[in-house]
Amino acid sequence: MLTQPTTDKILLAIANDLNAVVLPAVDDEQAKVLLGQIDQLLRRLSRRSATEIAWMTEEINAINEVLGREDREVTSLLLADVAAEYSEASGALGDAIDEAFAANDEDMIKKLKNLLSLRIEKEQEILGQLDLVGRG
Amino acid sequence: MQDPSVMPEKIVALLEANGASEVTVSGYEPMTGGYSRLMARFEASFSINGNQESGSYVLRGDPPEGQAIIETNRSQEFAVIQAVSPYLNTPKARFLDADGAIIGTPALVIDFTEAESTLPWIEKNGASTLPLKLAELSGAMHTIPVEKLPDILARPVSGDPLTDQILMWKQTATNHVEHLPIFRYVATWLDKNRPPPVPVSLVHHDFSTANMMVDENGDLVVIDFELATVGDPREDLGYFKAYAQAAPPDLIDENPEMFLNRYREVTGFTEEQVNPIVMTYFLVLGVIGVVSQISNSGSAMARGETSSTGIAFNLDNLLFGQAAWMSATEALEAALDGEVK
Repeated sequence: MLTQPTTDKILLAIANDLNAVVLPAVDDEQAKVLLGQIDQLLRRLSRRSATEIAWMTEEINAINEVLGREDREVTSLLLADVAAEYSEASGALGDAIDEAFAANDEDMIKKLKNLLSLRIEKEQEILGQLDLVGRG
Repeated sequence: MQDPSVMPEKIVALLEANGASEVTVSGYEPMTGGYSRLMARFEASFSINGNQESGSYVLRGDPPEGQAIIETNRSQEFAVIQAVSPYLNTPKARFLDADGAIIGTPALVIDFTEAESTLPWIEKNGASTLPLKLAELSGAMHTIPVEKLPDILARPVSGDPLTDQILMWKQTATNHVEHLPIFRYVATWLDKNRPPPVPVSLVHHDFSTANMMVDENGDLVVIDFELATVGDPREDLGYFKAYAQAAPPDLIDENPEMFLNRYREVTGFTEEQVNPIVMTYFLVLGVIGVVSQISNSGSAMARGETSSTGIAFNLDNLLFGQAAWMSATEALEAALDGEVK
């Protein structure tokens, strides 16, 4: 397969063309709103496609380390498999949060919150600037 | 609803089915800004109950199946608008096609308002008068007698709106297509830090500048009651602040003291019940109604049951929300620590 330009670069090029070429030629207001949403989505997908497997794997490992589940491994790098493993680890993290709050375990709550902060940091990188296109 | 060549005839049929006669409809034009529903403006003249009427109206209907960002009920929206319009500055609901038999999709007709969208109005006139107007509008909405609200409107199942909302946080985390640990953190945190209760009232649930306009008197007009329920009125204040974080300005922050004093005056709530800390608590709690709808649609799309750009676009709002909610819980912890000390 041809790997270059990478997916993120192609998505960015599509977004730029939609914005620079297609949008100025569109008069319909609803179509303009849709194009605005597509533009933001493509830019986010560009950032996401470049990093998501590495990001999810890194976070799965971080969660497993804090929860003492080091024996679990990400064995497949197929996107669907990594996403399923990421959700499983997220579920375990959620259970640990409930247990830590129930036990008033402040140290554990702090560690688990750090994991959530790591997630939020990555999410903000992907999100970029939020513009609520289409709302009054 | 997007085809101006067929819609006037359907609107004539709807009005006639509701008792109007001598109906003429013209100038049908789809509108933007409806966000979750399709909207169009039209001119009409008709006779009803012995009175002759003419003016501008808005048709508001469901998008095609599978395209809705959120699922709501036009009959409920119609009943709510009819119940609240004697108390609030809001365009009246006029006609309903509950099952879409005439219009082709469930739809209602409401009066068109000449009021201006809030953000352009603020750009021209500034925001200094609006905190007081917002306090009066939200106070008026939250003091409508609950017994005047339609029975179709959801009431707290547990008897306590906070318990219901916190449960909705937990259920959203559980029902979403993938695990959401930040939702579970937020739910548990909200449960541990409940503020003193207030009486239940109408809750708009999408109370933001996007659903407000400013009329010729400089008064705020509130629209779009599709997500309304009976619940804790402070959910609307929190939601207003949460929305303003994503789409400024925050009219409450323009003059928080003026806002809170007037709101307490209108509602009779105490300073312990409504203050900046409590509003921040509800900034997190109050968004779950909309958030759960976005989550449901996103999950349906992930399962291949529906598909649209709007659903994917709105799902990204949850990323913004997760950062805002965690940041709010941290700010509240610091504030609560300060109170304890």
